[in-house]
Amino acid sequence: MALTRVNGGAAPVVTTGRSLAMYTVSLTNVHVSYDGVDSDFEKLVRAIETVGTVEVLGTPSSGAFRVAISGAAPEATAGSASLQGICNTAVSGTTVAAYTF
Amino acid sequence: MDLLHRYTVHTLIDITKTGVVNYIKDHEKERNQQRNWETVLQLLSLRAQLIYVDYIGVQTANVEDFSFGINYKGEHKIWTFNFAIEHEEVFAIQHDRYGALKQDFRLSPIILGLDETAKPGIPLFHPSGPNKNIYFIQTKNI
Repeated sequence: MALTRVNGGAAPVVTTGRSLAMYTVSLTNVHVSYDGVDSDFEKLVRAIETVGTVEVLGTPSSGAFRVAISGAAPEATAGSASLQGICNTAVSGTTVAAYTF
Repeated sequence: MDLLHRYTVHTLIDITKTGVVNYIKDHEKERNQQRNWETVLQLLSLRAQLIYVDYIGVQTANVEDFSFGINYKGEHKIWTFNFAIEHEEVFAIQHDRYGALKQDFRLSPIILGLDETAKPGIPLFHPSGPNKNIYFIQTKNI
């Protein structure tokens, strides 16, 4: 597998060529006590991990967090709607939107 | 003694604790089940001293009531056990309290062809993704 080093070596980044899908997951107060045992944040991460491997997990803030996943089954990530259904089952009231940068 | 932090582990892999720790002719299956169990214990022990391990056993249940990968449907055998450690932060990577556990288990080899009913494509632990076959929940402090 080819590895690529970018960023001029100042801050080496190694990629393995896997496609990442990024999402913003929103839920009222998801940032409150998110580091508690079995918090809403933890439940949502556990649910997201049923469809893809979490590669990057953002810190919850202002009722939302961002996540980048790889290796997701196509039917689960055909848009954010399916992922939202999975998250909503885990914690009612969650919304998921694709994030682009 | 300081507070203990207890975790529950659910897996679709046959980790039956048979107690067969040496090769015995006609008991190779039980030895392989014990090998999987020992693999799990060794992976957990990479970062923490296990204070106690409470092997719960196996049940058959609908995997959709659990948090396994979406590639698994319907009823399957699920193995469960609890363990406790003294320092919960050893498994955390930033704000993911199970981050290090997932790193350690990811792609670790296991033995298939035992009593498991959910068959991963390749004999590896997957702690996340559509083939997720093991996961951890911190349950309570004791």
